[in-house]
Amino acid sequence: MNPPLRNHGSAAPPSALENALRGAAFDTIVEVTGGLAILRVDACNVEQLAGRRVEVVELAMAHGFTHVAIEI
Amino acid sequence: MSTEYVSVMKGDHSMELVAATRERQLLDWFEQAGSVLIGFSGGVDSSYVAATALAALPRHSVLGVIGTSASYPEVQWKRARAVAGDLGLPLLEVPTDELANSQYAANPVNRCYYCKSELWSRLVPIACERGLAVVVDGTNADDATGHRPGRKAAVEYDVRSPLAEIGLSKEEIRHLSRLRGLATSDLPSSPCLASRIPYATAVTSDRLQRIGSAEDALRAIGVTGDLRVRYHGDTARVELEAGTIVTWLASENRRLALRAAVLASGFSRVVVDLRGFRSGSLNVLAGAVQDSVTP
Repeated sequence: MNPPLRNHGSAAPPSALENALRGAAFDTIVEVTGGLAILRVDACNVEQLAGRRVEVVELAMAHGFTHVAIEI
Repeated sequence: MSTEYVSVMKGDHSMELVAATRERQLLDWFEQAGSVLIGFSGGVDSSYVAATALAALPRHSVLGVIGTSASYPEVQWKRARAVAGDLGLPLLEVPTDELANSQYAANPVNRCYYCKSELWSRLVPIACERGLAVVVDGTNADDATGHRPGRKAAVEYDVRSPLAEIGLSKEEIRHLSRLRGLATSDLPSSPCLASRIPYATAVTSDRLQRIGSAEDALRAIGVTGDLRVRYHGDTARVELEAGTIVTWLASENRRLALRAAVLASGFSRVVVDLRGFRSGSLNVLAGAVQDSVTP
């Protein structure tokens, strides 16, 4: 059994990052485990998000996440 | 070497000149030691230590010892054996069992201390039995900074670190390895598999096996360069070299292959880190995870 990671404390709620990403034209669902933000996107949007990954990482870091990853 | 001397050498070749001087000092160091047992992994540093020791000393005065454990993938031991063969390094393999130590398996931030204590507790007696004067490791000058609890164990067992003592940096070691024609000169660093598990999350043989299997599978489908599969319970967070992330994610076929490779290793979820490979990236998550699994 692997219990969920605890909230890191300093990171913003997932909805805040979700909204910021939406503002940058990324339609994603954000799930937070510890300092890790996991982005869930439609398969057809993965390429676009990967291509702008630096921008995505900067947004996530600005919201207090030390790690940001995309689910595949 | 004096600071003044180094500061004079500001040209393109300054690093090479400093490195060459330090290699001479290293050869002298081994000559003075007389005989050495090397904690050998087949990585960049210990391979260079072995090559220079063999250049300075008779072959019978040098012994490489691999401490084999579940914390390292089998592929690493195969490479270590091959490197030792290329160097002509007399080699011994000794099993270690750090997982049997509950203090190690609990995965505290000083986990490396327990692992290295186990290693040196096996290797130091071998040096005594064989009359080898000094036990050495491949710690380099860059390793003196950062989080290195394993150093404490080395000090306790009187293990010497000639590369660090002489001030050889990783860059210099890679350069000198190239000059010596060592196949290890450009190897990426390969810390133990336990480093993929967040602190305070138990290290178990099953988890190590899962991580190792996933990394092997990713190599098999063509992932090159630095790679880590970080353990987050049922989720594997894959760190690829930053420059290759788009290549792997943009193609659906590649993406699916990457996913399948990791899932086949026993994870139920795969995420790819968008920042890419970062050495010690789990350290910044230290304290952010908990796990009730008893090793």
